[in-house]
Amino acid sequence: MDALNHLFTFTDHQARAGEGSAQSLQQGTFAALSALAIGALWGAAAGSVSTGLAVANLYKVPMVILLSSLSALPAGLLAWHALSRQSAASFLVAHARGMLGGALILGACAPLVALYSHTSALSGPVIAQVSVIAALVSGAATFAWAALKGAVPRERPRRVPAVALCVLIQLAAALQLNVLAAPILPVPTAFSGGIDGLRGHAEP
Amino acid sequence: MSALVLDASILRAGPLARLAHAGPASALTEPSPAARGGAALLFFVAVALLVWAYRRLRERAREEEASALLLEEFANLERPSGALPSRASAAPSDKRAPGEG
Repeated sequence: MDALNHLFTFTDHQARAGEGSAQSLQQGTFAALSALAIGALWGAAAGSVSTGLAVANLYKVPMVILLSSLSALPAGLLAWHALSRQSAASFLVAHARGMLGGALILGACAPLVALYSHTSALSGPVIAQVSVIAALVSGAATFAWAALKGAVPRERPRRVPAVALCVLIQLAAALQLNVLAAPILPVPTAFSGGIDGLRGHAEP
Repeated sequence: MSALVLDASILRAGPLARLAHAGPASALTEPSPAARGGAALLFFVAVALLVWAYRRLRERAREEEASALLLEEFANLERPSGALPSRASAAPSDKRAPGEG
């Protein structure tokens, strides 16, 4: 219960250690690990119609979350350092907050996703994809809020491009990692084929 | 109209398109087992590193917290509870930093 409380206070920005301190970085790492665990839970729920898929999703969904973050962080950190001259630790902690913010949406939707995937072949994948989109929006918003929060108003426009770049690269990486991890849902979706699949859907 | 359609299909299947797409679309979107295995391996290594970093940071955070508590205790020793800070009620001079007071 303490761990759960700690998670919520961390996303809520109530109990914050000093930026760049070991405690702050420790909380960021804990948030990232928690996001991966919640992602695994959502993956198991989304693939629960088949035991094999549910077990495989225990690592597939966290893999997409973690590797997309690792793909985006170098460019984001570079832009962050070049534009805002702030410490890398504050950017990393803000990103971990974003991961957790998105993962909490996934965790909240997991029971609904499991229920619909068992009871509706048509709506199950739709509910799963809607929950992923909501998680992405929530994660990006939490990340931006955490990154911009400590800045003075004059400093904020410098931080926005770094955050936007990081989010864009992470989305692009997650789309293709989805191809590597496919199948995550029991039926193929528009995102299963990555960018080629999306282009195929867009072209008449 | 049919000629236009034919031209467009020739452009799509021209040498440049063939260079860009070495195989059929299904082969492009199907990753190799090595890529899948590599991604999984990278993921497990990254998780292990993350767990290791978390444990190291937790130790360091505890050290920081302990040193902060120690500093606070020293400050409390220098200022007895219930007494106003003054030269007479201050702690012995050997607890102070050199050059202080």
